Amino acid sequence: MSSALESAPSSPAAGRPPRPWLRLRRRPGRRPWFSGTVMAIFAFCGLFGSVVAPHDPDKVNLSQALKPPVFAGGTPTYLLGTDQLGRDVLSRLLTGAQVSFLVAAGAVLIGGAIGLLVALLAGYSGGRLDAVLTRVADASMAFPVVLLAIVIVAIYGKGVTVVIAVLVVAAWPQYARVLRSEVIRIRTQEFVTMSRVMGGGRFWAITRHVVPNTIPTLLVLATLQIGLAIIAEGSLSFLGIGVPPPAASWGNMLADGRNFLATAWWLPVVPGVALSLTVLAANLFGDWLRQALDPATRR
Amino acid sequence: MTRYTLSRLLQGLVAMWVIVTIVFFLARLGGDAAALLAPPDATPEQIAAIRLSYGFDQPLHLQYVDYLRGIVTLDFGQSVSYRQPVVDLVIPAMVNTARLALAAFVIALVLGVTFGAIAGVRAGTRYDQAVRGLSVLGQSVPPFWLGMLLVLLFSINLGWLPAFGSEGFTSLILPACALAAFPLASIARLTRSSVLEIVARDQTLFERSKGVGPATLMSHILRNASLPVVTLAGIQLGAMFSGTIVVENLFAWPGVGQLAIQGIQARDFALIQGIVVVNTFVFVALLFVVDLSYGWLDPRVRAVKSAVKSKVGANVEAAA
Amino acid sequence: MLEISNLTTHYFQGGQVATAVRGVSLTLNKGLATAIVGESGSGKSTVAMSVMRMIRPPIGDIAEGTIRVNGTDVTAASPKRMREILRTSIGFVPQDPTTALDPLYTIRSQIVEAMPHVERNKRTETIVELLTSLGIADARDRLREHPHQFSGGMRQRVAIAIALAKEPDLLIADEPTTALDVTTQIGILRLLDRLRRERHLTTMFITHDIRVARLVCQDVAVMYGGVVVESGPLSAVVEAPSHPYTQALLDASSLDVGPRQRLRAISGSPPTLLSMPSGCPFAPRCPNATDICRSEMPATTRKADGSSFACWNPVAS
Repeated sequence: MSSALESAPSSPAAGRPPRPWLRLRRRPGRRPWFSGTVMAIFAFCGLFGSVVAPHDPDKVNLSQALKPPVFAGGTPTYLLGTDQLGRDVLSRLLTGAQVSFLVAAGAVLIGGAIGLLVALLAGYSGGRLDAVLTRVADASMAFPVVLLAIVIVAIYGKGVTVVIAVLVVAAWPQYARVLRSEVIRIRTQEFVTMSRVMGGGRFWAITRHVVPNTIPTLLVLATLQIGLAIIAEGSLSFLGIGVPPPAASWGNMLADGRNFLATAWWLPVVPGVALSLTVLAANLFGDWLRQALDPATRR
Repeated sequence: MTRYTLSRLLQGLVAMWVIVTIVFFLARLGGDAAALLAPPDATPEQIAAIRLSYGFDQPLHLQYVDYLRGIVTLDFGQSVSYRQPVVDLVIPAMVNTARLALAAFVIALVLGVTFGAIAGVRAGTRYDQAVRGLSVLGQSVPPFWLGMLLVLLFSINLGWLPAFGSEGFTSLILPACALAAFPLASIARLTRSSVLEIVARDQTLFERSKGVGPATLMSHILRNASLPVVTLAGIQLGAMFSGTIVVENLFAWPGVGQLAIQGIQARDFALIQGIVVVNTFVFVALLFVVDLSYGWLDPRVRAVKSAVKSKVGANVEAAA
Repeated sequence: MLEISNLTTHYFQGGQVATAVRGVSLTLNKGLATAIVGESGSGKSTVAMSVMRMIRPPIGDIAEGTIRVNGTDVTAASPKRMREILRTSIGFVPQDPTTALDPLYTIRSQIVEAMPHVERNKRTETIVELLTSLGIADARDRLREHPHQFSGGMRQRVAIAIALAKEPDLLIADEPTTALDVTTQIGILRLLDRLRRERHLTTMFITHDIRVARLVCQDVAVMYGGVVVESGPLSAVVEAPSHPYTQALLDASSLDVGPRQRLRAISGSPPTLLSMPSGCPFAPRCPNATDICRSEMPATTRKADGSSFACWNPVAS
């Protein structure tokens, strides 16, 4: 009796059959038409906003002040109306996109690069350096962005570079934490071990195997960070510690517009819609990307 | 007090010390600390006097010790713009901020968990789709703009609620709602995915096989699903204490955020430093409470904490 | 005791309908253990889940057939009535006790939930008695402990205690030893066999391993691709298998493989749920397959030894 059991094949965790009665299988995700289009428009305006702007975004024209948008009884000259100084809202919106784009791109690229570097360092070194880096990342993450901005602005003053720096400081730990576990997971996979066994150097393994395999995760993180960066820029400019006026930025437009809530609603509403739409698109795109790139949900 | 509590407390203190130290060195590396602390129109003589009275001519390590001693004794120095001790300014402002943040937090937690849990249990239905859509939207609309829209609708157009101020309960509603939207959305999202994960586990199937009623089943699901949500909620509550800065500014709410902005405009560095330290303290204290409730919720954490925590942490990141 | 007739169960996967079980009829004899043997994806667990009505929209649904537990058709039972049946008549032993027990609740509270009929002040005594009879020595002291403080075998005993706490008539064990160490497996199998005899438990024993089935079961139903291909008294089926799949399964798990002898495997792989052939599901892998096998489902043939099979070209005995 027992002999039969001792030779019984037993493979607990491995080869566990899928259990269809437990989990609902979803339909494959739809293509991200909406978010993709909005992201493309944002990128275009971010690069060429001031070129396509119909008017000079900073030109004051008091005789044309507070004109409503064309769909609220305004003239086609100013499609989205004018502000209290007669500046064209559409043109300011387009130039403002450049600020948001610059800030988002800077924060995402630099923050991502630092995060990846730290992740590689921590994931490959292990031991004490790993522990220290993880702790530092945790502590930095515990520090709220706006508070950080206040400290930095109090010491160094305002400017676009300061905004980017603040966002980089806030963002790198998010990348580092997630990518670190990715790096550890990838480096212990068989094909990476094989390349080492077959005489490949550590540098070769990192650049050829580890880094390329972190890219899906990095892309998802970066896309989701775009939204956070845009909101953060808006918040800081709104508080008057972001991009210094009179430069057109969405946050500055909102900060100005708050005084016209009762009299010229389009001034606070239009830039808010632009900002929220862009962030929404970035978040939706990031979610789609996560599902599309995740082998577990791709099946 | 158990060993677990002690180790958590110690970790909190270390985190606090790290942040306070970073602030110290940021200020010293940023140039002349005395100039930072002086009023904008100070003469070189006045700056020199400040340098002497704050001991900025002392070696760095002595300054550091003095600085830490000040923090431990709640002495953050004198605000140059208000000509008052910083503590006397920060504490009442903190109380106001806490009122706003806690009100928003209660809204976010109660509604977020409720909506998220129902969406998780009814995954794939219209209700679920609506919750998912709204929570992505909620995470995309910045609180200061949402606040403006709320004012536009409820104060200006409908005239139901005051647009600013801190008098009475009604003035709390709009800022609290503006502040609650983002954390509500993320808590709902995480609760949904967490519930979904627990529902699909063997343990839920086994629980159902006992023939227990919906209430018992739901309490099992919710308690298990709450683990990552507790972590996120703690982080969100902490973030809210700084998120209030923008909302306070919009609604003229006399909290820490307002104080900080005034501090920046007046170049009142002592005040800002005090705010940062108090804020950090609140944040660390909240995380400590989260860790404790974690140990209370999950018996495994009391024994082996590292493995479970790291797994939950990953879930939080994936969903947040 | 348990009569399944013409059961068909679907899963709804990403908008498509996947048929996991089609037209299964099966009767479990009272007080005996029936093994449901098959590879993963054969539909054997789906049969068990259908009996407990665990498959409901939007995940899936029972499309056709009846399942009678003690005379009550569970396919027609309301959710409330179904909970009552689960609470009183059906005990379930899970595959992996590590994932099946709730990590956050004490052992005691998890067992108590399955014994609402026992009076409050007698519960502790009943649980201690039950756990002790299942081989947990210091049961009284361990009631307040959590699952992670128990070993794998002990956890499975706790899970069995939960299944038995309601004093069921039917016990469904879904691969109850697969997740355990080989040395603990035998203990759990002996325990299940003893419980069946002592309590006259009708047992449905789901396994992929026909050798394990031979140790504890009296009857067998071999499943492949969502259908029962052969069933009857275990000894009869093992002595003289008629379906080529049963034959292949027995060959593959043959006990008399000597040194230097080739291990026999079944070539090919089982059909996926979405690509079920219209004829016999085993036809693509079957050595005896002819054209009719691929186009038409064979009817069930009864044999003199009490077993029955569904095959166009049965194994010659």
